[in-house]
Amino acid sequence: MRRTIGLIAVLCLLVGCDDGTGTPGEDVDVSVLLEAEDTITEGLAPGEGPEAIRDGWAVTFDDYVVVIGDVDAHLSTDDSVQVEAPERFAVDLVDVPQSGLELWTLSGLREGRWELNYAIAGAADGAMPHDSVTDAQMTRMIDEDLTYLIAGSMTQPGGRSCPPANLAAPGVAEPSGEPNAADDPCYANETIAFELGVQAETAFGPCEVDEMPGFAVTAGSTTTIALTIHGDHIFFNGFPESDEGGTQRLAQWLADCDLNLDGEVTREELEQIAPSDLIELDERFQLGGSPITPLTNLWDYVTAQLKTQGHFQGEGECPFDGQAHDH
Amino acid sequence: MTRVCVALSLLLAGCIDTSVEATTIDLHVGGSDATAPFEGRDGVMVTLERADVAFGPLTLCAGVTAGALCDEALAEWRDAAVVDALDPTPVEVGTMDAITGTTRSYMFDYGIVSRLTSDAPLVLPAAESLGDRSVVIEGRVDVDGQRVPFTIAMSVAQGPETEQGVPVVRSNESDGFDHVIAPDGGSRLDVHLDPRAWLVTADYRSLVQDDMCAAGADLVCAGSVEQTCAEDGALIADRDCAAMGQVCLRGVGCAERAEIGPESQIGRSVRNGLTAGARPMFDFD
Repeated sequence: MRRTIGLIAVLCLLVGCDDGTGTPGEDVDVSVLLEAEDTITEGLAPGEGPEAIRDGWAVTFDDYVVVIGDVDAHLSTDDSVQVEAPERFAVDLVDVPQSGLELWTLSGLREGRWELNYAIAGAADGAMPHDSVTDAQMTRMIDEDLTYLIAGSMTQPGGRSCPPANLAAPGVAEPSGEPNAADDPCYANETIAFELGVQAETAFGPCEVDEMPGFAVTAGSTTTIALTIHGDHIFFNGFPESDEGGTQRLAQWLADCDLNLDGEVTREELEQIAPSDLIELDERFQLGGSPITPLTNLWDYVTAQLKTQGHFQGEGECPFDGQAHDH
Repeated sequence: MTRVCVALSLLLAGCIDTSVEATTIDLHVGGSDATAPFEGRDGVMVTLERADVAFGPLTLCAGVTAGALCDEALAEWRDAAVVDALDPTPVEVGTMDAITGTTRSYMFDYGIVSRLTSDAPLVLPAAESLGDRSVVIEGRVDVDGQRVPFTIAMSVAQGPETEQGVPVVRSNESDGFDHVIAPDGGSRLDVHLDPRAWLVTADYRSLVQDDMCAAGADLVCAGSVEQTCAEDGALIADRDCAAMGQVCLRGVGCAERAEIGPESQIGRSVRNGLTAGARPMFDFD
């Protein structure tokens, strides 16, 4: 018997068994913060740096409301050991402090490594508004079951819009300067606003940091983890899954979506335009990892990019799916 | 060493779950019955006469997300083959090295593989046979009173500005890919490609034109009539392309057929359709 127990212990050591039981009676409560990437709180600047917008546009966000919650963790070594914080909150990420917003508590976690999942969900199923969200915003989000309500603008001195000629409705606007590479006339348009109410329900997880899954709990310690929402994926040149370091941020394509040149890009305009209609979406873009296929218009493209913005502990990765959350 | 080779090595060394076994998957790839005319964007009628595509390499992953997050490959085929995408009959193209388990995602290239160790991609023999292209499509489209023959020849690959080292197509959980790989070589995978999916957003009207001469335009089509224009917009000469058995192409004039490259709207449509269009059908037995 002792030899059997010893053999089992040796085998467990060899295969890295960890039953995560810890010390009975020393369960830990984990605080879960919501963080906003500084691309949301501070915007994006033009430039040549790795996180700058390469084609000269600056972007700022006035509102960046997201509905987020359904936090759950399970022990890495035993799926049946699970803790949840199911509350969903609508939060304007523009107003989230740099230190994060403590919104959830995972209670009674034993020592061990835990895997983490969460969701960005529609507002119509019990989301609670944070103080940062106005009544009008919350009403709209519930009525339209939105996951995101994003308002902002892009600016560039000398900026222009070059909408696809076969879709453009320039009205009285006069072309300015040379046409673009597709021979689409271009028009002066230095400030372009956008307001995007999007349904982009996504389940994220299991999250990892540097290929280590989830987070570790140690008895007697204070553990705080953070769900981090990025704000610049709409401007990515693709759908990178791990290291965003090789990604470019480009915005001229969005400027070219102002079909009627009224200084605002709308959902209706994005729905009219196929990615292939824009000369700007050229070989610098690689769309093969999109969570929405087929990608037949730019509203789908924007929605697909928003599905990829959920992260963990800053830059930690959380695989995303394209399935709607069951209500 | 490939991901599957590593997994197999670990298996042989007794270092991973011994309920998995080394196995193989017979891989067959075919097209679709897509030779009948079909409606393209804005109601034009398109007929395909050729759709050859270099398919592969192909990797099947255990997780729900492929690509750089494919930590454990369950099956790999590291070659590529030219597929007649207009023939629905699947053709055996090779055997995938595999281990048993449930695969929930896939990733593949179109004959041109991006490498981390070199900016230049690796062009596999299948793509070489297509003139270093991933796909060659030939057909004709009836648009605005003209029947326009066309050829589209495209390469689809990651570039230094995109995700180097990652296949161009990666499935996600929404693709619903969930299959069990059987032991003892008992699995067969049939992949079906549909070239119509690559052309969904193609704007064929960009090929033709029906205008009069105008200032600044050297050559303008008025339907099938090629017009040579003066700087001030006056008509210098015209000729009926149709009388010569040709078509009048925007910016080109009289021509036998439209040679469509990657810089055009139709070229972008094909590239986006191949990478982010409707996914191929995967039939697992």
